[in-house]
Amino acid sequence: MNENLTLYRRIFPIYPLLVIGPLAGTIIPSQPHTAAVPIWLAGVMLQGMGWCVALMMYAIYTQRLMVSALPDPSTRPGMYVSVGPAGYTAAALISLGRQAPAVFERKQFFGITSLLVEDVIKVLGIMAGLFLLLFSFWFFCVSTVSVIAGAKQMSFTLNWWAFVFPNAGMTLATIQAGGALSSAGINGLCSALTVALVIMWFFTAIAHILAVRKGQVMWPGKDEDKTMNGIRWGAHAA
Amino acid sequence: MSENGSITTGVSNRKRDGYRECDDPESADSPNGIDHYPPETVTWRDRVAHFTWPWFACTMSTGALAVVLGQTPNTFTGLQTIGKIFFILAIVLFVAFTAIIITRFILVPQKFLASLHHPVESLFFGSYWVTISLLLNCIQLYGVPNTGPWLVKALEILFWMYVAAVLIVGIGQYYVLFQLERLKVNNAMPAWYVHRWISHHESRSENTRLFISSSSSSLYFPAPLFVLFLSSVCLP
Repeated sequence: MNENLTLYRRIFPIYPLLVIGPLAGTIIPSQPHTAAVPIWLAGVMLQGMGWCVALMMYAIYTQRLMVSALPDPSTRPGMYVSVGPAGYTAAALISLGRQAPAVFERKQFFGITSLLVEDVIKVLGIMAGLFLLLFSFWFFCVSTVSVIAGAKQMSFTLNWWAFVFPNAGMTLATIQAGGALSSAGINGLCSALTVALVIMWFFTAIAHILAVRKGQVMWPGKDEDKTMNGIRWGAHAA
Repeated sequence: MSENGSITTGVSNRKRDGYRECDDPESADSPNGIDHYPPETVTWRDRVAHFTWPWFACTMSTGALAVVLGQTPNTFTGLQTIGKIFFILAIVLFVAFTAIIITRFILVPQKFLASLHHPVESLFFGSYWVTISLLLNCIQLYGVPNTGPWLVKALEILFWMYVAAVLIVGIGQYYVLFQLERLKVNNAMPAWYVHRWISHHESRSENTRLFISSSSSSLYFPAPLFVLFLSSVCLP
């Protein structure tokens, strides 16, 4: 197996933890105060755990990109997977930061009385999120250039769905940034990104349906499980 | 099972029957022993057997799109409805794909553990869980404004259940990944097989079955401790 093909996917197992922050940020506004505080704390702590693991995987990923060639053109859309962790983390930090004043209203922190700690948390969250936002954009650009360079030799693989979900994370972060900065320009950019996501969803969905009809995926010997140890994939394998 | 498997029959196919790649450690780099090329004709049964975890990248994308549509600024009438359509589509796809992948594991039961240990396919197991998280997001965005306070309480419980589940997944998956890496390095060295052979005094097939299932027993060992830790800290 080509080592290149698997490297960006190592970020994948930590993805379920990386979406806890945005999930917490979405559900907190409806929650009563007693439930909101532990959800907020869990959101921040687990997002931190996911982000640190993802950052180490980023290091391996970029190191491999430096020393060896780009992935196979057909699996190259999978490079977008690297956009997601930074995007979802930025979205979580800004969203949780913006909700800190409501969640921690009139609560004393660490015995500090000289300033409003919840406002400090809000500023910290928004700043940290903005700091990360363009990191995901950088990966987005690198992936886009790589995909375009290999566009002519591309055939459908399930990696193509990475056109949508990691970039959705970056879009969510941009939406949060637009809300935090009350910027009409960023909000316009969000609308454009949303439209682009919808287009890419339809593009990938059509390519997926065509590939299933032509037998390019879900076919013995053509899927990820063909190298499964001890399980045959040829005729009569099922 | 194999009799119903395919339209094509012939000497070569009959020869393939009963062949296990793992029976022959020396040909480990050819994935299927004899089958080097995908067959020309297959049945839907064969195809369902190759319904892999990466398919959940599709439900994940649909759910993510519904979340974005529910939060995007510059809203207009009908945007909420478009979002709801994608939300319902994500639920339908998720249920359908879950049913298909369960069918796959019923058809080829050994693929369940093998898919969680496979160096590529196992990584996409996370996309199943991300889909659940995005669906919970959608329930908040599209469901809570239209229902009673019971859904808010339900979301709180589902959030904590999700946290517990993905902690197990996040730890277990990397544990398997680290273990696989070591196996892969050792795989390149014929001495590893000799060592296994001598130390376990087992026949060839048993030896390699061990290769597949060796990590399953200790797979999620540390996870319950983390869940206990988390629940004691976070839950009131």
